[in-house]
Amino acid sequence: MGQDAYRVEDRVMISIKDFSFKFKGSKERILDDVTLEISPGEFMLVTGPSGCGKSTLSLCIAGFSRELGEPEGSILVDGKNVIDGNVFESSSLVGIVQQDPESQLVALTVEEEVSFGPENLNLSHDEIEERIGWGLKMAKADHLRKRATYELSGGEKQKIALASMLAMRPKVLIFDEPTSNLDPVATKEIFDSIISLKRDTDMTIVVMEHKLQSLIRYADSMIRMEDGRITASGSPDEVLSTKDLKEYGMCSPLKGEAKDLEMRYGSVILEIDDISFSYGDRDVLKEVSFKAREGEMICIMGENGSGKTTFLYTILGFLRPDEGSVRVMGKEVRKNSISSNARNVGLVFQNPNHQIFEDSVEKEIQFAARNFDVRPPDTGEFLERFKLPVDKDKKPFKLSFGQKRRLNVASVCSYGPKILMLDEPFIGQDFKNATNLVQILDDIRDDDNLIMFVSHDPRMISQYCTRIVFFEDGRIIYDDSPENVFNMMERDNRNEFIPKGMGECT
Amino acid sequence: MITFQNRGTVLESFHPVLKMVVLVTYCVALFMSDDLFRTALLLGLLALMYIMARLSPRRLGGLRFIITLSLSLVLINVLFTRDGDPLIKYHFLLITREGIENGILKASLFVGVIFSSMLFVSTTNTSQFVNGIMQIGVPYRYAYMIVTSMSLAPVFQIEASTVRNAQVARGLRIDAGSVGKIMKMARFTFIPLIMSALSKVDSLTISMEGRAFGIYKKRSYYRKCSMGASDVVSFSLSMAALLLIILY
Repeated sequence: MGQDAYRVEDRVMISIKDFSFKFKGSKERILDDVTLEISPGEFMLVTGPSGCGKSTLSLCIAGFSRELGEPEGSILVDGKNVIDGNVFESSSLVGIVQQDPESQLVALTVEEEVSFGPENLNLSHDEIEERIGWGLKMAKADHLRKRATYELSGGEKQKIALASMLAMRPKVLIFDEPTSNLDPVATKEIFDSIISLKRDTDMTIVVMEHKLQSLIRYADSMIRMEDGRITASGSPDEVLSTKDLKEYGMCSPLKGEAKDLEMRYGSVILEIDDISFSYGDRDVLKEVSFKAREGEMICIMGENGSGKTTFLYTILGFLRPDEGSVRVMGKEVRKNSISSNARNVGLVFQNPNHQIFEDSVEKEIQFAARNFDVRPPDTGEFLERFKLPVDKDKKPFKLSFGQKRRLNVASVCSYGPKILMLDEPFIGQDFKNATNLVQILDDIRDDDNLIMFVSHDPRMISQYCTRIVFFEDGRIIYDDSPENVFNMMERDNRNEFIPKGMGECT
Repeated sequence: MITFQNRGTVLESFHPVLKMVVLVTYCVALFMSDDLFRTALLLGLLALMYIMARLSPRRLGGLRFIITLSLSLVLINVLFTRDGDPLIKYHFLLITREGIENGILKASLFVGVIFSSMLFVSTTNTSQFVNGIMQIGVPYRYAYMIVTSMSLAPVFQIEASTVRNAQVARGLRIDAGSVGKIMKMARFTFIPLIMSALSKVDSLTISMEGRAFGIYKKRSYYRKCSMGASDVVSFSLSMAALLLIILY
């Protein structure tokens, strides 16, 4: 069975009528009176801010609504009622590729992962063999077949998640923000696979994404969701015309907008001379030299594995370079303990849940300050400064993703480190939350602090960063203003890192 | 972390379920052994298996901890066993033959169980083992608990390291010594890890149920874990050797 399985039939593939949904035990409607029709073979983009109900909608289409909460209205997929049927019946109709590549893989090897679904369907060996081959081929992951899943990169894992879903031969494939944890190179590869599926099969494809630029020209239709409702639907052009392009992340940076803050920069507070670092035989940093001053906001870019995180870890002293020196505020990092380095260098890690330790927002804000024997900041003032309109006694794990991220930054800023480093702070954040965060960082920078963050989000980099440092294979290959770096990337054909849009930001 | 290492040896190709039965029997034999000669024979057998597997215990990690704990076991038994023939008596110090023998037996039992288990893990492909137990009739829903926990183990290992780094980066001193501080440290480590694990459960459930996990009572297997004549012969020889040592 190949692509013929996806013969376009002259009827509606997904029909949603007056559908509302709330999770078990909750009074709040996550989806409110949604009505939508998607034709067989249609490629639909779904956009909207975080928490608008995109992921919930995808779960309900996949037949999880009764299991997760209280649905009202109807959802038919290929004429079958997926609300009242069980999830298993829907599993051959709808597949979901989720956001987090780590947590959707169940097996230890790629082959076992892709064969997992067909095995559950009790298929014959030959049928499973054919489905594994087809799934891996369509996901452009044939070369990974014999690998262990835990060895794979995030992008490779996401390809395997896609291959596993394809092996179920679904009629509808839903991608729920599949690239939000991936770097631009892996993102492009996933998008290429989606585009191939659109081109080579008649499968109905629904993609929930913030990064619309690469997919929009292939989409047949688009909807925008806000507060659980569909607020715009139609062709991509029609939907885009309903809001400022900036809100869709669809605009290019203004030429020459890179901030000229040379005059405002203070003294050099971070000096890195010729450092190299290796994990066993693998050289991760190679003769890296770098200087940064007070008042700079520096974005660190590069593919996964290019040395970005190792670079940050050497500045804090988690890793000691094999050669060369790192000096923070004139002090050699290797001569101090990590705790005393951390007094001057704050680091916010990628996953907000890994760095929340206390059971109230107030205690969490004061956590680091107390550890460093510094007078804790005024909680009310910090809640306002970090745009956290929540009760100080609220449990941190109950905050939204964007709020947790801002709480992480607040907690690190509580003791006033001179250098603030953040690893992928904008991942999984919509435009509003990302803008809130970058504006906070800009305020911190204004107080003569140095901000450095790892990111590939063009919306934030082009407008707020004073400088981009780009890593490739353990070396810094570009270190200049955003405008100059993007020009050099264009010259060197590193197009996946360059912001693309349909118009200029205003 | 001890993981399966494919070296192409005969121990790796041995049927995983039969290998498990041999391991359990070996451990029972160690527990039953009450003299030094039998224990030495059992440890010798284990050494032979390590040679066949082309593995050095040194490369499996944790050797220093195992040696320290084994020596502690010997020492505790030597110093605190008061029964048996006295060999040395000086004030309160009494060392008996039985104390020394007990110490060696208990340390050997500890070393034997640990190293035989390490050998099993190092020479057994987890997927094949799980396939094997499913194909002999263990319900696949239970067997997959092993697979999912094994597949998430490296993820949690990395996450635990990130959490510890995040603690240090916020000035939490890991070398803090009092019991209260250790409890606090455990809380600061487990809360983020548990929250992270819970957030993964939903995705994993959707991924598994979305691929029809549990739809039928039985499922098919792409990779069969078959039992050949060589497995039966190896199993019979191993069991015979163990029974000989135990019974005679």
